[in-house]
Amino acid sequence: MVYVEKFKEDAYNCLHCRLCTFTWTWPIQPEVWEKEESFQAARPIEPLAWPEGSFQDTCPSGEKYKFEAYFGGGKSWVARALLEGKVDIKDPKLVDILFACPTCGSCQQQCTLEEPKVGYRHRMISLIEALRAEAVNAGSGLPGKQKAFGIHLGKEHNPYMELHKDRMNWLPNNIKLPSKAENVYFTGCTSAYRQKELAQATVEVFRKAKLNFTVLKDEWCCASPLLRTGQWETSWVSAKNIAQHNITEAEKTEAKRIVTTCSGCYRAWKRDYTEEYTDVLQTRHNFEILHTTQFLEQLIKSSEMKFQGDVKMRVTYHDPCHLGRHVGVYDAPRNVLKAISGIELVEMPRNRENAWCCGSGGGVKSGYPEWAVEIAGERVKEAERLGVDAIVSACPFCWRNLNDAISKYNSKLKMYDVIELVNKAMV
Amino acid sequence: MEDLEKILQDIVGPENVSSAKPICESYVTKGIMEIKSKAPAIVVRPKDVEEVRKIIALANEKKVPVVPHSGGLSGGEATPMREGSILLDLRRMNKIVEVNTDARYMIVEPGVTSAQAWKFMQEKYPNYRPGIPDGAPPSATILGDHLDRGFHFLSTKYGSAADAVLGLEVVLPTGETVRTGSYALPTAKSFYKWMFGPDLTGLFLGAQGTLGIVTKMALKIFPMAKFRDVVAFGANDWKHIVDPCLDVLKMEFVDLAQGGNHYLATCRRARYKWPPPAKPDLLPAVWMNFELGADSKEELETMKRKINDILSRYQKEYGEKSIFEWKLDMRNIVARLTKPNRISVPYAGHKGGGLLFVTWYVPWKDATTFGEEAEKLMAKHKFSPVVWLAAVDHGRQGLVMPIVLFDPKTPEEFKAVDALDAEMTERFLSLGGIPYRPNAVHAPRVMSKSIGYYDLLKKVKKTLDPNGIMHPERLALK
Repeated sequence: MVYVEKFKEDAYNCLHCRLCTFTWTWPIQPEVWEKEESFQAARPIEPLAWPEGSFQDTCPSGEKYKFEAYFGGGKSWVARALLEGKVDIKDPKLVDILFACPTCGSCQQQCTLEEPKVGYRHRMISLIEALRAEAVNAGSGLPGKQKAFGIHLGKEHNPYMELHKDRMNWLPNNIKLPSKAENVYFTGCTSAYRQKELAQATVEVFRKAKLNFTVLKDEWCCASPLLRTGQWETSWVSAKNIAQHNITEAEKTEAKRIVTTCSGCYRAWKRDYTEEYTDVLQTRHNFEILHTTQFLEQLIKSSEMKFQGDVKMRVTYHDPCHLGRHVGVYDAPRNVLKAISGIELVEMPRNRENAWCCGSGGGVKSGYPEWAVEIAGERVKEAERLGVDAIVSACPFCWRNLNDAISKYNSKLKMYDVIELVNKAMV
Repeated sequence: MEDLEKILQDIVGPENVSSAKPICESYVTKGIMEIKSKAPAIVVRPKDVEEVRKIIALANEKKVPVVPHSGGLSGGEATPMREGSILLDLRRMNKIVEVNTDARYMIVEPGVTSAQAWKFMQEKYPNYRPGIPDGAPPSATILGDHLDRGFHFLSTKYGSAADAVLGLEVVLPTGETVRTGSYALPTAKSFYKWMFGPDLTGLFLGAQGTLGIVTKMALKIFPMAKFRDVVAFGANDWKHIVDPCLDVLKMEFVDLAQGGNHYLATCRRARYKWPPPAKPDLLPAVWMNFELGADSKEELETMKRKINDILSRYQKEYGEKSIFEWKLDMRNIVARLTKPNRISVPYAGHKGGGLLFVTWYVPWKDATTFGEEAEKLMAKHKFSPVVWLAAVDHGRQGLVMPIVLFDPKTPEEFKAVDALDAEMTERFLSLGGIPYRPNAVHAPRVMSKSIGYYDLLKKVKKTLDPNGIMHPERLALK
């Protein structure tokens, strides 16, 4: 075992309490406890009645396949069995257990072993990704189109079977960007090839805000799809080469910060290139990494950006896993939406840390496409119950899969990215 | 085994049977209540009693061991101790069959979790709740906790969870379905624990799945108090906490009394280490919380005043540094009163992940001795001496629970846990304790010392389970 050893502690730390199998919300959110003033303000004057918790399904994989192995805790115990030589890494069922999971991180979130205060975080997502890498290393794994996109990515630098030369086709010909700028907009493959409107909206917003920005002259995939599916270093593609290429390209622009509208790219630049995968990618950089919503939030706070338009819409916000649970950005997109006149933001019962995954991440969209839309369908139904006009997210990958579910289930909901509504508000 | 799997697939559908090694290994748990867990050979997920009945009849015919598993929160106790077993994952059977707020009972299937039941009652019958286990995660099942004589959030007032069971539906090892209590009569509601003859419900409570598969349970639901609060006593050692608490408990109004030593707090979220941290100044050496519920503010205040009177009396006798009110902050009060809570889970948060609850029923008055002995033995075996204490049935019984935190990565640690457990068993038996959920270390030692009990149990087992298919090795029943 080359990769899993590093996460041995995480495999063995699972008590098997099954808390990871559903969301568990305290009546007063734990984070409020940290802010003593807020907590004191919430302190009841009368003797306490019964503070009620809230419980809902949280694991797309477990809810679909039901056997214990598909839940986070079960996977930990499978990892133990693997480390103890009781399970074969090439076992087809093991492959299914490992790859039929959007690695949304909800199991990790629900696990009470996550103790940032003592510097310990139960690394369930990392453990799953390392197990996948072991499977790939052994010549196994990669269901559906995962290997095909990996091979294509090695040649054309995108997982969408598109040509690299067409990558910049989304950018209108009349827009000329400088070779050097303070900010780089890292587009990402989904916005470049599929949800081009999101890339175009981002550029329009940046131009309306008169920002000093450019895009990479030769942008490649961020490598997130490879890292998520265990294709770290294979005979067909090298995540290291890809990540290093992007950093080199970014350095050529002499930019201070990288801004991206894609939550997958954001996680890759923010965590994978600098913390979690530095041993695999051998990367480091000094860029400030911001998701577009964080960047916009800063601009709104400093009054550098103002909205003139009114966007009359009742919306709910879907937290992308790669932005929310994986990196911890929850408030920025909400604050941006709240700053737009006319927007009424309503929360889904499962929100923020407890958000139900859209189902597209972790290779599920390419490995199990029908199930991916099924997962998104549950999210669409959750949103429908609120009587909103639209679901808003902050990731083109979420946008795509949720929109697929909206179509499949004949929902009347509209799908937007935060950047699209911002663009509407900037008349 | 392949033939068996094929027949099982015919019974429950192919998607609900798996003999895949990774699936089977995922059910293993070496901890919580038992560390002798083995992976099953096949996992089967029945949807109803009829499917359970067919599976058991088949297993009996083929003489294959069967192990029931509802939420799995008993850990190793809910997984096989013998190779080649069928594990029945009962989580598909998760219906709340009936709620009756006049006779105050509900009927649940094995897969109904504390979370599910609590939420259901919160929404549909807000004035009542079942006795959900306290401290255990909300993933624990109601049926499993009651069947295993668990400690629920009103156990100090109403007794162990098993005391709230009114009737059962059980599939016997030979494949017959039976019902107990008034639930046995098709025309009667499940309002009464007793049938015409002896209590056959009790036969299955605490049986750890050795005598049949419980597929439905009728259990009491309890009224929700309108006003709640928590008060706590702190003390400088075990001997100064027991008598004041007993006087409080004898007033018979406390909902829940539980506490323990300071290691409960200091080892709760710390990484595993030896020696354990010294007692911080802000913590008492030992403490007990009293959760109180009342229908009026005045009633609640009266309770608190009475508790305070007892405290004052003992402070005069012991001194104010020996016994005192431990002022809890609002965070602790909310954490205690939030139900279901998950207070026990973070004990596994130390680096290592191994956790074994070794719980003993003791007369409350003797809790001091057991607590002190547990601390000494754990220190001797180099385990952090974490000891939890609770009162059941107004202190007629006490629960003393050493929580053994260990590193499960090494076989040596498992051996060390066993050695501690064995020595503690001998010592606690000599002091008159009763193991709460006997594990593989406790059961043979306890059974062999019983006066006729083990022989009778073996006769019952032989009668009900002639082929010995139900959870073999549990309770020292082969």
